[in-house]
Amino acid sequence: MFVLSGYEYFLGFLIISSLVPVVALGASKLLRPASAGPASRTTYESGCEPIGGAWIQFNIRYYMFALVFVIFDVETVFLYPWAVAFHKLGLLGFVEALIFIAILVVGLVYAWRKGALEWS
Amino acid sequence: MNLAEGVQFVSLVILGGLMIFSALGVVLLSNIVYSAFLLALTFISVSGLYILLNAGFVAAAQVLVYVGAVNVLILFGIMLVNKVEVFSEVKNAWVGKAATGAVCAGLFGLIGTMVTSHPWAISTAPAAGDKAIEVIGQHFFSDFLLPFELASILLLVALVGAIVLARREFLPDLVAPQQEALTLPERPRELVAAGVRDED
Amino acid sequence: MDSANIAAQLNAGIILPEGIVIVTIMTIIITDLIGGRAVTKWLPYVAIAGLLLAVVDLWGQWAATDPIAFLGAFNGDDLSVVFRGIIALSAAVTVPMCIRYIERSGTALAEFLAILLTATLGGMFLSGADELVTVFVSLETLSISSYLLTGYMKRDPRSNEAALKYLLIGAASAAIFLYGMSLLYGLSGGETNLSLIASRIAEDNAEAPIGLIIALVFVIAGIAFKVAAVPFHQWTPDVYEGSPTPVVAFLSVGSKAAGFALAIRLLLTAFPMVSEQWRFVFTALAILSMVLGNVVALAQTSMKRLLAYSSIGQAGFLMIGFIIGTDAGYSSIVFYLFIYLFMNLGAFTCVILFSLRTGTDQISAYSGLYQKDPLLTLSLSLCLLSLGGIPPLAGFFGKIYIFWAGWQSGAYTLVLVGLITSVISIYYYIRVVKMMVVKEPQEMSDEVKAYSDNDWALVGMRPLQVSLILAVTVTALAGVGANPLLQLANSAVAQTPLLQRSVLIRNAEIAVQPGHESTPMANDAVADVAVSSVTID
Repeated sequence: MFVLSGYEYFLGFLIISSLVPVVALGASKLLRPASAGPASRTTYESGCEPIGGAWIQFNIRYYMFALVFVIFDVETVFLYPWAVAFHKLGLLGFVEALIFIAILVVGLVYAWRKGALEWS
Repeated sequence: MNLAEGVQFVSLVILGGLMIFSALGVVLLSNIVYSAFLLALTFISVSGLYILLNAGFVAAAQVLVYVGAVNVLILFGIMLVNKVEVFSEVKNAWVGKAATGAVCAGLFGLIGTMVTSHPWAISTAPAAGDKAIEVIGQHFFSDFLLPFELASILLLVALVGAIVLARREFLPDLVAPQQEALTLPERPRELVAAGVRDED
Repeated sequence: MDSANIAAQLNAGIILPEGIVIVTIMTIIITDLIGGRAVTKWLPYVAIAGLLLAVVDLWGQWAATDPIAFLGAFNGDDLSVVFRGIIALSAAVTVPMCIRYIERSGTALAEFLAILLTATLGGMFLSGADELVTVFVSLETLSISSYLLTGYMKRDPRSNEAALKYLLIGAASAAIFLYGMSLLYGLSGGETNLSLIASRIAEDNAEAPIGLIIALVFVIAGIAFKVAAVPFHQWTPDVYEGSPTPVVAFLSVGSKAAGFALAIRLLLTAFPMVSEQWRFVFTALAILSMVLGNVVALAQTSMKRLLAYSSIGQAGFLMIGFIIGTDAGYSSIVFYLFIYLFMNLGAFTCVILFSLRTGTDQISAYSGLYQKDPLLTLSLSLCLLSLGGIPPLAGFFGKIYIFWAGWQSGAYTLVLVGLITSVISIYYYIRVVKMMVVKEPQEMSDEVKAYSDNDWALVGMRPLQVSLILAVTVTALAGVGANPLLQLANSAVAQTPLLQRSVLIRNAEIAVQPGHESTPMANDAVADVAVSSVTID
């Protein structure tokens, strides 16, 4: 049933990596001196006072970039199997992938021309 | 139970628990930003389940697309509208919640019974293992070619539509300087090639 | 599999009409990017030309010898040809309606056309999709384009609201539909081809497993959402009221036709084991749709909401032909959809024209319109009366064919409900006509008082006029010259192996039903009787 035995190491890695923050925080909790002054409750104990909340309204440009990124991320995921199986697919597969890419390049040019990729 | 099966079982329990609790958190927490981060956790545990099912490529795609792109988009969307609104308490809200819960529980019971009672025909073909990506690639270019190519049109129109909806229409009389920093100005209509707008 | 072999098996010529539409979409986007404002005004004509070319090419696909394309992913049989033709035609009639509307709203025309054509493309692929992945991707292409079109007037809060509602309910129903499809995939042991799914499930199970029934319910929920059947209709009135009117026109015809094509192919191919059950579910949906759609329409004050509820009722009528499952039943669906295309688009063209001139959709605003604009009054009256089924307009022939087919196969309850609700529908259609025609000059609404119809020279008005006159002419005359259309519908059904197989089984079922003497007649005889009974009436 479980044919990929290599994933045991993956689980071990996962366990170790999830232990790292626990151990780090736990050790510092044990080692550091306990103090409960008002200064230890601030964001930066010996830095500047932060002004305003951290949850400010984001610029819409972030959203546009994320939007374009989603589309091309999906495209990458679609093209990856093609690249892996390239030697078996031959010329026909190449042409078909070319059509796929050509259609999406039109989308990229569109996004570019309409200013969705511009920051200022 | 050998080591591989034990590892699989432990991973299944951990991932399943993580998935259920983070999904409940997405629905039940009132702070939408926490919900969005928990949604990412749900996606990651789903991708862990895919690994357990020997679907490494799907797991990678899940992390890349859902956690890396879709969830970031959701977070940006939340931060974009970031308005704190106080909703008035709905009277007898528990009736709706109880009804929803009952319907969901009933549906879960029905599907659960069906899943456990049906003798599923499990494929006897050997698992593709590390060759899976290659097999997927071959399917993409033979029997799933049509949906594959159609997906490119779907992605294109999604991109075009998203840009059309997300960009701000260029309205010379309405441009306020303080708004400009937060919104994406559309180019003048001469450049974006829209039609003539005549007076009527 | 070597590539030359695959290339031969793809049989890509079958999807040439869709290829033409894709090329048109690309042309529109690229021309808009390169040419800018100077060429934009030609883009609608490019879109219409592309769509008409696709229809012409579909004509050439008629009775293809080898309709299976893309290794079983797409089936270009005559049923799909007819439905693809209906969807492409509905888009071709919608494009001229939208030019002026888009101009007035100040939004970009090229993107609108590209998205509308993509929706058409999704519908066309959906009509022939013979495999689960293709079904879902084409359904999503149709749905996502529809959501985008619904929210296209982004400065209008009603359009935003409509898009959001449509998106949320649509995404939920797509998820349910996908769950049903995943059950089919699992039950068949990993098949995605519809006919293979059916044969694998039949091999493995002596009687229908409970999972198949759950899959059926989920799949029907997805389909019923697309065709807006009660109780999956809640989105319809709000979306119809809020979205741009040309989009509503397309949704009410093109999207609905795609939904019916999907229903016929998916249910007949993949669910033969539970045909009793889905007939029962659809009977309930049809009765609910006819009753609720037509009764609630009585109380509407907005023209677009009235047409929304009327389209729900019309979906109920169409479902009768699908439930009875005979030759005449299927061909009556095709026939009625053709007629519905023109009369419904005609009605929407009139609504667009009126709202462009007055800025309102309220029914009360139409009062006394006859005094100011006889042409618009006449067109709208003809389309509405045809929708209601008044002879000798086309809608009457469509309805009588469906009811006659239903009566022949013993679906008496359905036909009686259909007849009663038709009478109810005539009442609310005539109410609008009366409002326009009978009012005295002093009862004229303020909007009509300020009405002027000398704007034909403005950009985009001529195409609107052409679209209107085409739709009204077909509505008025299609009933009288219905023979070629009937023959088209009949031969489409007769030449589709999928339908013929299920019709044989269905006829055997009907013959053994108690209290039903007459056996169904041969296909051509049925058509002849239909025509003669229609002309006698």
